[in-house]
Amino acid sequence: MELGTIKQQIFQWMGWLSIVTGLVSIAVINIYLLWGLNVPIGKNISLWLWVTILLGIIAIFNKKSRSLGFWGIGLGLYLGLFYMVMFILGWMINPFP
Amino acid sequence: MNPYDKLIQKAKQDGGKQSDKGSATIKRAINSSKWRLILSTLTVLLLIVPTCYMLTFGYYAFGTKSTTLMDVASKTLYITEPNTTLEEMEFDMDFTLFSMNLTFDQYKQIGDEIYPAKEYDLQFIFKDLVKKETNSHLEKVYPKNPTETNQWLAHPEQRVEFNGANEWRVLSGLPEETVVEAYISLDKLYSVDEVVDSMENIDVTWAAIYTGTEDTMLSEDGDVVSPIGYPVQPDQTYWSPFRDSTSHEETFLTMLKEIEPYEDLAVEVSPHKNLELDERIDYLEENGLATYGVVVTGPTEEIAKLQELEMVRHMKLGEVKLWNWGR
Repeated sequence: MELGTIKQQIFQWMGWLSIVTGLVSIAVINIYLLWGLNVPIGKNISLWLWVTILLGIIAIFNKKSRSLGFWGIGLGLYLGLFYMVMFILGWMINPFP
Repeated sequence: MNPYDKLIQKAKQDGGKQSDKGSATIKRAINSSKWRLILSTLTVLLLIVPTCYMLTFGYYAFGTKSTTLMDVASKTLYITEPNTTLEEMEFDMDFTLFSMNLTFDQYKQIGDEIYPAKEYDLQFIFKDLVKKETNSHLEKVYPKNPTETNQWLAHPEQRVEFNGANEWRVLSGLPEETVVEAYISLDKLYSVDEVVDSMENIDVTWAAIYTGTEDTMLSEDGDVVSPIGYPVQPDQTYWSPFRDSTSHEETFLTMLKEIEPYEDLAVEVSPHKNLELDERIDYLEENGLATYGVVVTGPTEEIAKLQELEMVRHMKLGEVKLWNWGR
């Protein structure tokens, strides 16, 4: 296999992995929310968020995997927005610790 | 094989290779599209619940505030449930899709100590109260459906449904080593300070305020109204609206005005059916505050002495506990 093809496939796999890690994180959040549990902000899920964004950023450097990269970054940003809303609005609507 | 045949043969071989390569590319493209479709569907599905939660949080932060709903609920109970208090740390708020669940405990002073009185479980969908569950720990429960005459605290012009003489007899039969809560109806309207000064060695915990409707217990529209009043004792509970209040009367009036825009909710939270706040606030602003009945607590013996007071018209016995009076 040519080096160019391998490089392209690596970028594509990075893109797919970024989407999958983002979706897994959101799926975990769904499970917590649907079971009525507190979403563990700042634990493993934050690590997944950074992995999702990092893989997405790598994927956008290749033309063929760019759309996958943006998709992954979008999921990562959504996760970030979700944590921020839950944290800031959470304090606003529930004044008790 | 001549050069022409060789050329044809070579072209055929190259074409075959290209066709294999082409079908592999198409297969990969189909697979990629298939996964894109699956994952984009999954993305949309997985975003629904977290997005709804963010909208819910946004609604309770910037729309009808969760703290407003909590304030209305707690203030309503302070003014409609005689001798009760709420503890800040006992409030528990949970948020689910477009709804808020509020649970808290209500307490009562009996003698010198505070006892759990009721547990409240309120469920709101947006700002509408859709579920209200209460679990009472009390032995004597205030009438759930008020009529003109079934109140425990009665205006001088109102009759009562309980046997007043019997209540005094029951009180005198209690052991001396007990403390009690009693609902005292007065013979006319008094200022709260006047009543507190007349009743020594006991705590006057709550005063029912005359708002122009209690002589008939009917509003201008002919609806049965519920008694309202305020806690008399200084309340240092952080959560209490009466904390650091220089005048409980002013705080009471302010609370009524704060609750008024949410009267429908207040009526649903309260055990009573009608508050008619608009009419009653107008009366209080014009005529000031006077009480026709108070809730007191203290040693049984001291409460029994109230029978000798001229101002006491009726007594309804509330909760009884073993001696805890440490003064």
